[in-house]
Amino acid sequence: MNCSLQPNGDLLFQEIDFSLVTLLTQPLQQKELSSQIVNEYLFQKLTKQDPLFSQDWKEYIVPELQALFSSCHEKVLTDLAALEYENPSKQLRSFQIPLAHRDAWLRMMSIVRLSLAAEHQITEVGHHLCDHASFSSAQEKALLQIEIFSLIQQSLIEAESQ
Amino acid sequence: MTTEPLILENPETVMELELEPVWQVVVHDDPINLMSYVTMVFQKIFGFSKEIAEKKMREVHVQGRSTLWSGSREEGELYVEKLQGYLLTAALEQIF
Repeated sequence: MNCSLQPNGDLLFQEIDFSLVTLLTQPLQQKELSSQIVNEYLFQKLTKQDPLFSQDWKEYIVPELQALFSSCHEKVLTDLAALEYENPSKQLRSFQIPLAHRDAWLRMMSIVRLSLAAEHQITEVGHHLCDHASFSSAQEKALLQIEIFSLIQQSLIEAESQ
Repeated sequence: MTTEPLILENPETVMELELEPVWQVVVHDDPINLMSYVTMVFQKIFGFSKEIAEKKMREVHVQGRSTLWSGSREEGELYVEKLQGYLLTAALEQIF
């Protein structure tokens, strides 16, 4: 897979091997992806000093975050559809992230990485791919997916700074 | 130009304002978000220069947390919501 920044600000990912398509799309197609993250991960350290704030957060902010993440999810799935509907006989595929969808992708890459880490009890990311003898195959697959999503997110961050 | 001293009609009101609680927005370390991502989010939300954003990010990474902002609770809530919108573990803490 390689990535290039287009003159109009879009990011083009090309030469994606068919085996990588499933690794890339499968975790992002889970419907409940963002709600688990909002409920379990973001809430944990919100504030310990004011129970009323926590209550307000659940009542007012959670629905806003859910709506935001849901909108991001839709944009990402729309862009990834190019991978699914391209000519099935074509071995190498591509997809494009429009400039207007960059922010949605940045957020979704974190959501999907957090979700994979939580599901597979991965507590630390980085310097692990060469030292994973004790991981089960499901964990290895999840780690590889986390790395792929990290690469996409890093490409987006670099594009943001240009 | 007059030099008469200012007489407060209701000094108790002033006292209440002085005791208004101050809150701070804190970001905690997490094992997943990329350091470059955290830096970028700090720049986007607080308008920090890259140097300041990286310094704050390193505090989060090394010390486990960093204070990003302090002020009124209402403004702090907005910052926490924005940070959480980017999946950072942000919290609001009362200083006094």
